[in-house]
Amino acid sequence: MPSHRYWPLLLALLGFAVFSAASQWRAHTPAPEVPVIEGRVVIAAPVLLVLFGGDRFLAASLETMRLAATGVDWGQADTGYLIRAQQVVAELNPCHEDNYYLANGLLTWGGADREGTEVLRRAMHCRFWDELPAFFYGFNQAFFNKDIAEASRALELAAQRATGNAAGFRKMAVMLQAETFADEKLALDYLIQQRDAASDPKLRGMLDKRVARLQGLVTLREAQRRFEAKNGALARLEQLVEAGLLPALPEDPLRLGYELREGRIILKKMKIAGMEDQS
Amino acid sequence: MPIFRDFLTALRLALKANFAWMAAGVLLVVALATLLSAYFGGRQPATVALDVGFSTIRLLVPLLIVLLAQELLSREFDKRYYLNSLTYPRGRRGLLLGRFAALLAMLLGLLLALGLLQVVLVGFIGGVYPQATPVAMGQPYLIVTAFMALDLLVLAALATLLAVVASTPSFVLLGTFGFMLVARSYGAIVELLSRDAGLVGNAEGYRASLGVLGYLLPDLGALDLRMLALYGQPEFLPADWPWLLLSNLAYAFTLLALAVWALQRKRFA
Repeated sequence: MPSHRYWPLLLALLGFAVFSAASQWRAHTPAPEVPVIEGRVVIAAPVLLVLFGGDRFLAASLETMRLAATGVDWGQADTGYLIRAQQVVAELNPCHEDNYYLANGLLTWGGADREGTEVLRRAMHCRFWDELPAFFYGFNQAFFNKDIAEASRALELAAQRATGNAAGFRKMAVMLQAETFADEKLALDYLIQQRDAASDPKLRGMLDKRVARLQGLVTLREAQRRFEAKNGALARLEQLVEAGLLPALPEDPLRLGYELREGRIILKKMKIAGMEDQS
Repeated sequence: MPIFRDFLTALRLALKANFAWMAAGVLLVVALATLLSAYFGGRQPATVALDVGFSTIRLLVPLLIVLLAQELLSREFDKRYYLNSLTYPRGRRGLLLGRFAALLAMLLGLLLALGLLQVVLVGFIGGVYPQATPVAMGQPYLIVTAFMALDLLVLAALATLLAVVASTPSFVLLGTFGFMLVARSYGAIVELLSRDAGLVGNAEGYRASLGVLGYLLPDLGALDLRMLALYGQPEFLPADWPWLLLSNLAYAFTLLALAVWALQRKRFA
């Protein structure tokens, strides 16, 4: 019976026929509903550590490269992703300089000040010799949080670490405590300085938008001062236009806008699910 | 000097197995990783380059250790070369120690070459863009490299033990890399879980059971002192470094003694 020799081959052909028929059927069944993807994947720090062979520095460096290279597509920062990714990096290696610098530029000035400030706080503790994170942290505490005590503490820390500018930091702490200080103008000055120092054209473009946003705030507050000198307290932002002080409300290139809260015009914050402003 | 003769034989065996080419490949990969990663460090290119270079070395050199252990020991038992190399007047201990010494010598030579390469490359990158916090390539770099060598010594001793006791060469690869992964990461995971308690339910219990590993495995993650060189601050040297050194040296010694004991009792079929 010579045909016995071909049985295994026939069985193999049969198996392959069943396999390809089943794959064809599978390809024809309709695909299940793809769930809507909300935000990009950021892996938690301990898991990331294992994935990178137990090397937290490599994990932090590569995550920073990923978020620096892909977090700012189309000239618009993917803030929801950056918030999570930068905090994971801050856990893995809080000393990472690029991470805290980007967090300050993109998060705090992009409507997520609390998260950006948290990254800065960790950088301030880890980089015990560096005056910059302490200065950024103190400034943000004063400008966004209105926590003058914490701000002057951080500025004093910056002054102790500073090599050339200790007097400047101390002076700022004193001015903060005296509350005689048009903080939006100072913020504008320092953000413009940061933009002009940026060498990467992409980062420069992003900071440019934040400068424009802050310029809008300066314009609004000036108009508010003139309005309130004549008419008393401001109730709605539109009153500034109606009184003829402004041709139109300034446009925010980040499309977050401005709001009036407790008689003071502020930058509107990003709304993050589950993290609504409790104040 | 029978050990010295084994040492020379092992060196010749390794060269025959293209150790030089493998070492050149490691050097090339480390150089590429160092240079390319510098482009991604916006404000600190030299630090990022040194950082990624260290990580590449710490991942690639263990692979080389495993390949060498397989070549020098597993192959000896697999191919029945022991019929010749363990003939009467020559002891088993001499063979093992000679080959381990050769492995260590090649490892240190490679680390020296890698160190010179990193000093040159990072010096070049640091010259292109002066950073606010420069890297420290002098004494701090030497300390970092010495502790990295200790980490590799523990892994080499483990690979030797596994090559003696395991019946297949691939177990040397699996065992060494599994050990490396666990020993390097558990310390950092314990620390991260104490802060980031939301990741697993009952983080405290999880942390305690991971902490038990500290009595069985050396904390290889703590041997990674690279912040010393990355940021140039001597405060990053942990206060307990003599104990760290002693515990890891003792662990490597234990593994090596176990390997000698296992080889003395090994029954060749």
